[in-house]
Formats: sequence, C-alpha cells, structure tokens
Amino acid sequence: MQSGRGLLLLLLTFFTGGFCSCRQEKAAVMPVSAFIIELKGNSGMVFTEKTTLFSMTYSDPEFILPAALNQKVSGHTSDRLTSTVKLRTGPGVTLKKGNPAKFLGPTPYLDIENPMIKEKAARFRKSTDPVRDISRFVYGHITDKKTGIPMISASVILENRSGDCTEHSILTTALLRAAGIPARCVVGVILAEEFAGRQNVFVYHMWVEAYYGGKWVFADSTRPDDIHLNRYIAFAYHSLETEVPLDYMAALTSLTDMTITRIP
Amino acid sequence: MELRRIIPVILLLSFLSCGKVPQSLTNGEWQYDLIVNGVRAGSAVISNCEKDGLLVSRTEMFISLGTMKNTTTQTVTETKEFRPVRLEVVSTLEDSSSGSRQVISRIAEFNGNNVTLDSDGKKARYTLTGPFIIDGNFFTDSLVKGRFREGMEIRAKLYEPTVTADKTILVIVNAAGRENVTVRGKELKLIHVRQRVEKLKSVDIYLDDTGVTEKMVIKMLNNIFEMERID
Repeated sequence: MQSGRGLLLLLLTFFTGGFCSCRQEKAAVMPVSAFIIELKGNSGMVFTEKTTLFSMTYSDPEFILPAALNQKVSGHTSDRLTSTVKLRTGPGVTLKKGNPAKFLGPTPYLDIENPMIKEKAARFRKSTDPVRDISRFVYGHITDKKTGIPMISASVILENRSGDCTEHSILTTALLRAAGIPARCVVGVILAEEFAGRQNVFVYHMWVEAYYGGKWVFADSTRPDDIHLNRYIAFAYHSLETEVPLDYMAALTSLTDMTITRIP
Repeated sequence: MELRRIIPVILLLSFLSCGKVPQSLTNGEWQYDLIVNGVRAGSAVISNCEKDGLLVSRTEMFISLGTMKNTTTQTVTETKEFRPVRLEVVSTLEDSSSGSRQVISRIAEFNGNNVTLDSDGKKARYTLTGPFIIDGNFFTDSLVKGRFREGMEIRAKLYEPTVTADKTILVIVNAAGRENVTVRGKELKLIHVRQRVEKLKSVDIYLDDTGVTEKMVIKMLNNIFEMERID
C-alpha cells in the first residue's frame, strides 16, 4: 500500500495551486466537471439581483460553512449523512472585526520582507484606496493569465507575472500586508455566466478580504472593477502557512456531493 | 458436534474464504492512471525499493492542464525500523506555450526529532514532539503484521510539511475486509483499507494479495479522483 494520503495531498496541492480556472481558455485533459458546480433553480436571476438566497447541501453533517464578508449562513440542518445550509450572499454583511493584526505577518507564501514586495507595497502607502489600487495593480501586473501553477510565494509571482486567481490572491494579500493592511485569502466558488461552454455555473475560485478603514472589505484582483458580492460563496479561509493547512483540507474533503440551489 | 469443535472449523473456513493476505512489504514499480470524474486526466508511478539498507518509496504524478504540464515526485527514505531519514517533494512545471520550466522543491531531513526543512533554498529547523513517521511503509508493515484483520486500526503521528511544518498530524488506518471492486473494467476481490488524517474523510485503498495497490478512491469537493493500476 503506497501513499494514499500522499496522493490526496498531491491532488490538494495541485488544486490549490490551480484552484481557479475561471479564465481557462483551452480544453484540458481534466474534465470540465472538475472545476464547476451546477447551479439549480432560476440561475440566470442571480445576475440581475444584488443579494441572493441559496440552499446548499453537502455530505458532511458536522461541517458548517464559514461566515464571510459577503455571506451569512442563516440556517444549518443535518441528518446522519448530509448537511443543508441556507445562505444569503451579497453586500450588507457585517463581519466581526476579530483580531485583524493576526493577518499582518509573513508566511512562507506571503514573503512580505522580500525587498521587491516591500518596494512595490511602498507605492501604495499614500493611496486613498490602497485595497482597490493594489487589486488593480495585481490585475494589470499578472499579464499571463493561466492555471495549473503549484503554490508559489508572492515574490516569485511578482517576478513571473503569471497565474490564475490563486496567484492574484497571494500577491494581493502580500502587498496589502506589506503596506500595513491586514489581509487574508478565501477559497470558494464564483458564479460565471459562461465557463468552458457551460452557462451559469459556479467555478472554484480564490479571493481576498482586507481590513481597511475600520472594517473588512472585499477584493478580487482577477476582476477588480467587476465585483458582484452575491455571486461568491466562501468555503474556507486559507492561512497560506502551508500549501494544505488542516482546516482548509477539512473543508475541501467535507464539501463533497454538493448541490447549490437558488431560492426565489 | 460440540461447540469447541465447531469453532476451529469456522475459523479455518473463514480463513480459507478470505484468500491470501500480504506476507511482507512488496518491492517493485507500478503504473497507474489518474482518473477524474471518470475521465483519464493523468498518470502516476509508484515504487518501493531497498537502497543502502534503507527503504525508499517514490510516488510520481503527472497532470496536464491546458499548456501546463505538472510533474510532482515524492521520495520518502526511512530506516527498516521506519525511522524518518529524508522526505523530498519536487514539482516541475513546464509551459509549452512559453517554453518555460520551473522547479519547486521541499526537502525535509531528519536527525531524531530534529527536522531541517529546505523549501526552495529557504531553510527552517524544527524540533518535533514524540515519536513520528513519514509517509513510507509503516502502515503497510503494521497491516501485514496484523494479517489485515478486518477491523484492525493503526494510528501514528506523521510529519507532513505540506500540512504543518512544525508539528505532526494524526493518521488513522483501518483494515475494512475484502470487497469486490472494478478495476480496468474487471471485478476483483481486493483488500480494502481506509486511511484518514485526524477527523477528515477517508481515502479508500484497495490492495491485491501481494499488498500492491490496485485502486485508490478520493472524494473531494464534487470530484471523484481514482487511481487505477494499469500494468
């Protein structure tokens, strides 16, 4: 018997590194089903509304989705094998302040002491909206939008200028922290109008929450000027201390056999 | 027939009906398909050997995505008593569109409970608490010694820097008896082993009578990842 757990970690690492394929242009060997979750109900309506109610089921009676900046979990019921949660997504969710200072330090992937990161972050210290400006910078700086890169540090991303939502989020978080703004990464899904020929499907995604101006604010550097908070569902926070932190792994292995339905 | 005479007969019959179980660690090299949601998405090679008096286990995984080709190799070196010596994970990323190649490595070297972790040239040192193993042959050896008895459970603390760099994590392995499993379109009667990290969901592993993995099934998000032996 060899490395069952090793293989799981290799797969998780691969999926974390290339978590989002929201800009996947070419068909991969990997089936499209590996990147998407179908949305049931009148899915097109989500694009016309500011807040959305979803019902979500998954095969773990104990796991509860986190509260996040754009989502409130309003109900959780479970039987022996499954959970059902009701979610409201969109603006207007006030997230507890917590201890934002916890999200200021370096990690192996957020190498904020790196001179290139420090130098780049210093440019935003006088910005009136550094979260927006850093997001726009990262969007423009990563010119080679591609997926499938294993998890790498922010300074390497800054240098390589390629990646998908994972690289966008790591670099954004590192620049924010280096600029003195607490920031953290969120993993989940985003509703795409079209992905690899499929309409109105959730695609795995990563984004950022930053603590600025006395509150948590939302940042997505893959689309800094086109954010619709009701289209995101958060599964877990990723500490970026290691490639596959235990709580992140718990979320991904708990969230199996998921269905997501829009509630009218 | 008296009960005391029946019991040995039942035991003998149940033993015979179970088929053979692996008698020792198996050395060799095996090829696999990686299947995602029923579609072949990559390949893997797993090998076990003895080198310079040490046990060396290697897992290589190949996955392509668009123009990106990702090869990840994990090499585990341990003593015959399963004391950790070295754990190496190297990912090579090749992009056919730009011709670029990137190598990302992590090497942990052990001296008792002290570990030196080298991540792409950045070194860190940690002292771990209590006995621990790395992802080699400890569980297989324990299952062999327990003759893969259905219901047996083995627990060990494992060092896995992909999860935590400065602590060990609990891994639990259960022998779950024999099951009919479809591999390469054929139904085989295989030994079922469940492996899990702490309270997380388990990976299902199916072994043949010599202890070689025939199939592995992992569920994560809405995906089913399978590894099926092809040689």
